[in-house]
Amino acid sequence: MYFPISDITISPLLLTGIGFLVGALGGFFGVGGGFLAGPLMLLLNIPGHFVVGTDLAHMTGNALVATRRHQSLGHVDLKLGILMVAGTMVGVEGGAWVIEYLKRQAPGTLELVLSIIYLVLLLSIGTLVFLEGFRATRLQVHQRMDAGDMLTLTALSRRTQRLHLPPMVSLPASGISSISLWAVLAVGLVTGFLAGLLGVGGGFIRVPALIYLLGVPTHVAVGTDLFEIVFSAGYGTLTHALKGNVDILMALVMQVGAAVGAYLGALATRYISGPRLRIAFAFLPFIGAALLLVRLFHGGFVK
Amino acid sequence: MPIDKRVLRATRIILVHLVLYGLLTALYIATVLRLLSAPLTRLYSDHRTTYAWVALALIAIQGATLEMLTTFLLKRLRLFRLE
Repeated sequence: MYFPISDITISPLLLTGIGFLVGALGGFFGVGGGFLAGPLMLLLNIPGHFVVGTDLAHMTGNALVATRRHQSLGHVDLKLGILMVAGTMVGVEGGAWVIEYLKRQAPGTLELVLSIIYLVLLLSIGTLVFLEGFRATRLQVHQRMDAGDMLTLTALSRRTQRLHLPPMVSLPASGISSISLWAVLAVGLVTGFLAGLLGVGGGFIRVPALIYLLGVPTHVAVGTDLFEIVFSAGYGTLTHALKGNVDILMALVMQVGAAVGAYLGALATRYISGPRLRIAFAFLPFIGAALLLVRLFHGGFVK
Repeated sequence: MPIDKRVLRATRIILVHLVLYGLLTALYIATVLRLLSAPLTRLYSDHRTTYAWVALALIAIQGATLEMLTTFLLKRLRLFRLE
C-alpha cells in the first residue's frame, strides 16, 4: 500500500503487526511502546522524521483504547491522572529546556552523558521493580495469600502519604484517603523532567513512581499512566503534525492492529497479580538498557 | 470456574477477536483509508494546521470506535461474561 504523505510503500499487514505488538505491550504494562515501535518502523525504512511523530499519533489512539478498557475494569484514577498530566507537562518542558541549555554548553559530550544517565536509570528501575515483585510473589506463595496486589516496598509511599503539606487531596480510586497535592505534582514534575531530558515517553519511570512513591495499586498505576499518555502523546502528535512529521494514514493502519493488542493487553491484566505484573514490567527497562548499550557501542561512543 | 476452562474461554475470545478484526481491518483499509488518502495528502500539503487537528481527531475517533466495536462484538457473541 502506498502512503503518499511519507512517500513510501509498505505492507499494511506489517504495520498492523507492529501496531498489535506495541498495543499489547501498552495495554498490559501501561507504557507507550515507543522504544519498540521506533526501531521497528526504522527497520521498515520509514523516513526518520516521520517515525517519532507517526508513532506518537498511533500511541495516542492506543492509549485511548487501553484507557477505556482499564477504566471499565476500575483501573483508572481520573483525578490522579489529571494532576499527573499537569505536573508532567511542566516537567517535560523543563527537561527539554535543560537539553537546549546543555547543547549550547557541552555539545560534544551531551549524548554520551544522557545515555549514561538513561542507562543507570533503566537498570536501577528494572532491578528495583524485579526484586520487589519477586519478593512479593514469594511472600504470597509462602503465606498462601490470594493473588492480589501485595507490595513489599511501602516505606517510601507511607512516608509520602504521611507528609502533611496542604492542600491535601483524596484519591479514592487508588485507595488513598489523603495525600499532599504537592507530592502528586512533584512526582509528575520529576518524572516529566526525566522524560523530557531523556526524550522518552516516561511510562517506565511513571508507573514505578506511582506504585512506590505514592502507593497506588499496580493495576491502577498502569491504567492511570495510560490515561496520562493520551494527553502527552496527543500533545506530541499535534506538535509533530504541525512540523509535518506525522503520516496519519500510516498511524491509522498501525492503530487498527494496536487497538486489538491494547484491548487484549488490558484484559490480560485481569489474570495476573500485581507482583507478577511488576516482575514482567521489570524486563522493559532491561530491554531498553540493552538497546541503548547496542546503540552506544555501535554509535562509536564507547570503543 | 476451573482455571483450564477460563484459559479455554480466554483463548476462544482472543481467536474470535483476531478473525473478526482481520476481516474488518482488510475491508477498512481497502475502502475507508484509500478514500481518505487523497484529501489528507492535500491537507498535509496545503493546510498544515488543519491537517494536525484532523489527524488528532481521526486517531481519537478511530480509537474510540474500535473500542466500542470490540465491546459490542463481545456482548453479541455472549463472551463478555468472562470479564
